[in-house]
Amino acid sequence: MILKTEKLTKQYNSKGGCTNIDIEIEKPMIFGLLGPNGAGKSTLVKTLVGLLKPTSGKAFILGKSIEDPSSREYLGYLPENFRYHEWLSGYEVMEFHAQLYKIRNYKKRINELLEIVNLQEHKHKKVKYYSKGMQQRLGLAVSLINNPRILFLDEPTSALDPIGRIEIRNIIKRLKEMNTTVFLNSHLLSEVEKVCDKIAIIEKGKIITQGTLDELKKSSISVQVTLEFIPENLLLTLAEKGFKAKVMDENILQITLKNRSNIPELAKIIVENDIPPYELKEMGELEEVFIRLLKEDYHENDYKVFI
Amino acid sequence: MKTIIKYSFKEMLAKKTFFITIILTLGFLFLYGYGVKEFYKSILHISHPMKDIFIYSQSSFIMTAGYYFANMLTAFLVIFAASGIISWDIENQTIYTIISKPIKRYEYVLGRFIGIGTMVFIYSILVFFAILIINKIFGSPLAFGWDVLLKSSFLFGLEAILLLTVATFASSIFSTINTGIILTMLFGFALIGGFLEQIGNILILSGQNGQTLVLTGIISSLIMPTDTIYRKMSQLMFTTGSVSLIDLNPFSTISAPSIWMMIYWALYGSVMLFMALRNFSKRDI
Repeated sequence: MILKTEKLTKQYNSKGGCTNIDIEIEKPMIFGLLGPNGAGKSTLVKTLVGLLKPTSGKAFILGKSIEDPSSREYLGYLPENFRYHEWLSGYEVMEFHAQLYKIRNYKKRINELLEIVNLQEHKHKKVKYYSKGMQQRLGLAVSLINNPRILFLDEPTSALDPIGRIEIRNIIKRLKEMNTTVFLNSHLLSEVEKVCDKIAIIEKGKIITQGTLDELKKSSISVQVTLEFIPENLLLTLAEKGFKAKVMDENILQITLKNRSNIPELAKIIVENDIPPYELKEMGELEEVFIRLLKEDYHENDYKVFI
Repeated sequence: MKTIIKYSFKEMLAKKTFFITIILTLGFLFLYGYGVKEFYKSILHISHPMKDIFIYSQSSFIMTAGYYFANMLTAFLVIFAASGIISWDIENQTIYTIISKPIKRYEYVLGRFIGIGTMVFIYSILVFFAILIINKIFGSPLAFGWDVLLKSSFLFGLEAILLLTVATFASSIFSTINTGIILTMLFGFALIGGFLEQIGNILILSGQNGQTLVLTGIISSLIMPTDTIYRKMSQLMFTTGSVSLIDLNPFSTISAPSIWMMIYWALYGSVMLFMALRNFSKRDI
């Protein structure tokens, strides 16, 4: 087991934090934790890497409790906001972190990583002269210094330009090939969608759902219907037949269905009500799943878990 | 922990604060040296019925004054450089990538303490001997045994270390600025308390009522015992062996701290450090 959390909870005196988090990552993969800003993503990661003390619950990394510092031996972490000692050069920063892991003969490893993140030319420059993007790339190199088996990346591309984002994405894919588990925290859906094998969606500190991208898309589907107009009796009929309909605009309805096989039935109801349908579109992209899930009212014990 | 110690030591050297302190120290030593030179130039040629005793007395005065101000300089180094011993890394967000490594939190705190403490201690010892050398070069007749010099220099460094334990404790709870304010106030409090205690003792020796001032000094030294370490050092240097001439001035020591006060220093420093370790081990970052 690479990562396991059991009802992991971290609550602050003020609002926020995360509650009853249950996650299991059994084999190497790219796991995406997706949620809007302030949902509790960083709190969860900070708790897992030992920066925050859990309020309750348990968590294990590679079989060791997160309260045991040795659980961080094969862990890499790139925080969302961080700085390195500005009086050190890029190479010295790497050296410092290698020594914290008690790695011997680290010179070759440091040079390899600096090559990967394109900082070889700047390695003797003081960190205070690095641009934000360069610091981010250095951060990634530092997080890989110990050849981690699990790497936590907290919003790794937030400070990068589009090219930098592609570079990070490629590095993440390379890590997957090297059997490194990546725990990717992001609010960027496109980023998560492109690289993640499994995704958990977190909102208000709770995991609403988790599973593979396909599982999330299939969990319940939503269709958007554009009509000439929306008569009241149509909404009543849809409710009677068990369809959840939400008026999005004066002529647009968003309807949640249990599965795709309900689509013909829905079309039939619309046609039978003599309303000309202009468009019937299935909302299947992650962005739509995400928005739908966040907009739906959910209750504490009423959400699906797919893993 | 070795890595944290090494980099904390290096960090001190890289800090502008340290560079400024070195410049200020050199400036102070230059001015002090000039003053000492002029001082001996004028008193070595005076005619006085008890010339030797007078010179000894005045030499002890100029040297204690030098140590007194050097002691303040060392304290300012601790205040400026160590107020953020823990908090600065948190405020600066450098701590995230350190604590997420397989190190225990107490190792981080102790590593920082030992690294910065070593630098501060070396600085104190150098300043201590610089004052001594300046006085000897320009004609101080005072002679000290090596045992006295070793003990005194150790005490001079210990004062800075005790202040560092308070900095570590405060920095484990408060921000860098607040820790700096707390340290400055406590050090100032101890300094004034010690000063008042010595004035109280002078009053008592001259047959007047100085009890309240002495009591104020004792209370202040319990709250912050740094000044009592200086007093012990001063007493050790200027009442030992051939040198037993203590001029009655607030820089010198009329009433020296007891053995109980020395035990209190050890307890005080240990408790401060223990509390710092405890606070940091429990806190969220």
